[in-house]
Amino acid sequence: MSSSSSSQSSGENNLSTNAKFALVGNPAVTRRDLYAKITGQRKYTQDIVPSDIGASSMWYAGFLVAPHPHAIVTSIDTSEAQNAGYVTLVESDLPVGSLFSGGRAYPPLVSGEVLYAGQPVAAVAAPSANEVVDALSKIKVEYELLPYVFDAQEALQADAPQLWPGGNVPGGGISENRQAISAEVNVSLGDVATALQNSDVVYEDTFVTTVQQHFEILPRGAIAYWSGGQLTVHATTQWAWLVQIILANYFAIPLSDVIVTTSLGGYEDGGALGNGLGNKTSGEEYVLAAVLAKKVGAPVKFIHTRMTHALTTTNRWPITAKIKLGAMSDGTLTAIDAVYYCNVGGRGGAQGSDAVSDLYNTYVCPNVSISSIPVNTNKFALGAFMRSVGEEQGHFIMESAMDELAQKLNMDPTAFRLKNMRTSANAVDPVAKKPYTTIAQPQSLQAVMSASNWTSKWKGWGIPTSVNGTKRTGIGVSIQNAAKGAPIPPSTSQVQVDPDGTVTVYIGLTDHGAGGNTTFPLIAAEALGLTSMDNVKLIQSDTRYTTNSSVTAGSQSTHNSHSLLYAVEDLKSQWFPTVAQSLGASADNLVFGNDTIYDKTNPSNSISFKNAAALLKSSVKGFGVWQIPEDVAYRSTGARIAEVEVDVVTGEVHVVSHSFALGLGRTIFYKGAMHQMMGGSVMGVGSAFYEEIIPDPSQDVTPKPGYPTSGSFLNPNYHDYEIPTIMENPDTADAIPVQNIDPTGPFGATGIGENTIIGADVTYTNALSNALGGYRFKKTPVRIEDVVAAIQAMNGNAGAAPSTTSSSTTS
Amino acid sequence: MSSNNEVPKFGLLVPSTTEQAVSLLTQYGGQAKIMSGGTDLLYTMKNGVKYKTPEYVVDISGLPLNYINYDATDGLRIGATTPIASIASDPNIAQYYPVLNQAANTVAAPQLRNQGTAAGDVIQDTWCWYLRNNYPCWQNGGNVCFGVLGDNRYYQSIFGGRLTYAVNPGDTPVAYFALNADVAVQGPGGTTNMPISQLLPGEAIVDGKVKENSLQHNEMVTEIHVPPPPANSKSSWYKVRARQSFDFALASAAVVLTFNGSTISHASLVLGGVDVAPHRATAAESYLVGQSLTPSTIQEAAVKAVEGAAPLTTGTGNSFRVFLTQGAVTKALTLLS
Repeated sequence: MSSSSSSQSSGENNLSTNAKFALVGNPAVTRRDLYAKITGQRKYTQDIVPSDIGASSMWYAGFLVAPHPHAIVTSIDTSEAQNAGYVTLVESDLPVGSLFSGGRAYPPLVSGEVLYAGQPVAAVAAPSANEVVDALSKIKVEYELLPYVFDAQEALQADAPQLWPGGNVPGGGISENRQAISAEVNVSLGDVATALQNSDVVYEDTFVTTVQQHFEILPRGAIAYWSGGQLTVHATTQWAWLVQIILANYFAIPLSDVIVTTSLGGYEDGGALGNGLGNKTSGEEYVLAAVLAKKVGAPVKFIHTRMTHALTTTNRWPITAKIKLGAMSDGTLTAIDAVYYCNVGGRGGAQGSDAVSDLYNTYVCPNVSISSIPVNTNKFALGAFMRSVGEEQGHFIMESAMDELAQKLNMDPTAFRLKNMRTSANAVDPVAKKPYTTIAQPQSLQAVMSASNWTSKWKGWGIPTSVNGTKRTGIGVSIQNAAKGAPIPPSTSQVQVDPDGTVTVYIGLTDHGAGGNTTFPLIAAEALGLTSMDNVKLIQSDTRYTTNSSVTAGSQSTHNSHSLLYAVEDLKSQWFPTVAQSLGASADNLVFGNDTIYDKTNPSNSISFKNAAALLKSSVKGFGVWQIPEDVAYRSTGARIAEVEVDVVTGEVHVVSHSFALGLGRTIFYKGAMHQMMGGSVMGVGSAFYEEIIPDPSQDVTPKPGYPTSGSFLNPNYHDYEIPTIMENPDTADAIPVQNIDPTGPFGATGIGENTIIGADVTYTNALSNALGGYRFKKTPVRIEDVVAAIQAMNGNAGAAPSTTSSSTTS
Repeated sequence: MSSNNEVPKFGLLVPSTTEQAVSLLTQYGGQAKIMSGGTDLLYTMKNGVKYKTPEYVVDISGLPLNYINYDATDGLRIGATTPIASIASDPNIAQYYPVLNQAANTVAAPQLRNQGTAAGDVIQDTWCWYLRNNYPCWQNGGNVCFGVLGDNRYYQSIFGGRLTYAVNPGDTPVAYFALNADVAVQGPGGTTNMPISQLLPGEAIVDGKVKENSLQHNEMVTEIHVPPPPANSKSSWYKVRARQSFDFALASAAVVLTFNGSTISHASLVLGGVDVAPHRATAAESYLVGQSLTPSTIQEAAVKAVEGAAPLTTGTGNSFRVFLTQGAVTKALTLLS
């Protein structure tokens, strides 16, 4: 076994920028699972039928969820459902225990007090999928309604409804002295009050972001069955190993008696997740499916409906931010003073630190005071994991406010950022005092300025880049400096070579959509000197065959697959003595390359990979462990410039162009990385203009028992929860990789997944502001009614803004 | 609260003639509903919308009602089960009825245009999210329109309402209104022809239930007929929507103008997505007659088009759609100038 906790890897010889690679960074490499996924061959959890798991039948489960945001369950009557032959579950049927899912500990079914509309109250299993509706309708639940609170700041008031013993702030009680609340994040550098007094320019405002949901193609779910005392769960999960731990703890059985796979697991089906954006790490449905399966005595399939998935899983929580900035007239940022109220929903825990660290890391500022207060409310389930946790919100707030400050300074927004942003010259987290592993500034901003032709396009604050009839186009910029997901060490993996030359990669990670199915075998193949992945098989996300490789989340899976390089080192130690004997060379001098193993002191002394494998009497398997170093700062840095067109007669907006540069370290799976950057930019269109969970305001006026009959959200479907369609894609998009090596990553790579969405929305809203006379959008998303308000405000100030209003329609 | 992605059990009835279809509807007395493309009915059934979920489905997709016939004297005849995609791509419709061609091309998304049908687009239920989320509203067997006091930004009328404020969501019906189309309705007593405005009164009480169309439970639309376009006429369409696919109209305008030289001699201007039925903008029509299209007359027509608008001020309010309606009219008229 070979392992290391230092920042130097076995791949260190390959870190030089002129190293030659066959597969790493090769644009010709395409997704291995592309054909299978496009043609529908890949089997997702939803697709699994009894014969796939060796069963003759299967039952189907559903949740009955509470229709009220805050209530007490006074009675549940399941007798009618049971008499009809259905199997039911309520809280009292469950083993004692609670779950922890990035927030407050909670039971899988509500045991008394409902904290959000959509909280599961009961579960049923029926012998066919289309009987689930009937089964759910036969459970009668009575509620006593309680006052509820949706707004974070209102929830901090002394007379607000209390959701949890000890108050609405996770980890602490409500206190006037918020410094005393443990779940808060408070950062202080220098002397903000004095700095603001001495600043030439001060900008102060409040920004609001909204609740978003993932709306992945495949909702969360699982198929569970018992065989003797052994439980098998095929789950839609980004971390099979965490689900195994949750289930073993819940049922008090050994880990070895719980098998968890993503979909069917095994070979590449282990990557059939149906997309994971953060809410597929754990969940109550895994437990409930397992309990129901035991009760029914047959496999039970539970897949969330679109509605229950939207209501009960994690969300992007909204932040209300009060922010005050100070600067000197030469543009030097002197003070940042901010308070973030983070609405983390009914059972969210302490969250918000990433938005805070992003603010003081992105900009170099000697005087900083930032507080982030997580607050429980009845607005939704769980403010926790969703792609770029807290950071997309934080960047919207930061980059909107910095734009306004630059405007007050009458300074080009790129010049303001170049002057104040953190670069390679000062790449240290100022609070944690840890050096960055890599930083892509100022190159990223310079790259997008060049790609977008910024200097010739920017005409000044509130002045569009072009006006064509009723259409106005504006340009906007933002920079990114974002924390990556918390490292959860260690990562382990295995690489096996068979005597016929077949390589098998065993990794506990899954492909949640980012291309891991290609990245994982690619890293192993490159380390083995192979020029193709044709003979490299992948077994992933399956507790039967792999070991824990940490979580596929937090932009960490490329980093976590670093353990593959150590597995190859271990493999060498078992394999090379035999090869050395055959070549008459020293094993220490042997290296992989160009589909051979050769003596680096005499490269012509070589043997093909396949022939070297044939020297083996049986398969060899290397085991690798990698521990992410803790003495460094893992941050993602980049920049964007976009142009947005708005029709001032219809309020319709369209992203015309988008240039995005991001630090990738060395790019491993080139096409995958570029597609991630494009995909994140498109998702940002949704954040900027469309995506929002909409609670029903009419509840406020008629709160009666039995009303509403359907959830608190008005748009739990793909029609009304508006994700961008292909028509909303930017007309042109440049994805520019800035390849500043990260020495802690495999071959110098650094993960980027979720970082590709951060800052996209604010780039678009900054551009829209530029198109509409400088109107500042202080909330996301900027929906069409907000655009209309901006147009009307601009038309009302027609003297100040450049012309072309609805009256100057051209034909 | 419950919903499930599976369609609940139902009885499937497959008639081989329209007479048989009507007879089945009569036989099951309100417990049966017509399905052609199924894009809307199956969705409401999957989501358990109570009053929209039938016990029996009468599948008419196999009836010989998939046709588009154009004749210079008779005009245009579109069979009930004709896919919207066929309307959107028909060369005669593109040549003689641009407003219908353009409206059909903005219906939902390509897959839905392939599956959804001509009559289905005319008589589809409102997309009001209170109804779709199974609130006990007027259209779902209750006695209140939640949109009035709730979130009425997108799906409630800006021209008032009575029992329900939910807008008619269709695109092609707006064009049919502007083109003065009529529909053939088959019932137990045979076929009746009626103007489309009679089929879509905005709200009708049928069998004690509030509906957007006046069809009895045992009636079905079999054909839509559009008269020949007037000589020297031009038509156009504009649909304002948040996303350029999939979304219903936040406001739309269908315009048919007849010209004498550059002077408008007859105007037909109908607004969609803003009233309980397609809304004829009579003040703007009157204004346009005798005018020629210039930026200023277009602007004035857009202002007159929203005469009588009474956007909701309760709940979230929806006055921004008055602006969007003017925008749709401006765009549609500008296309003809």
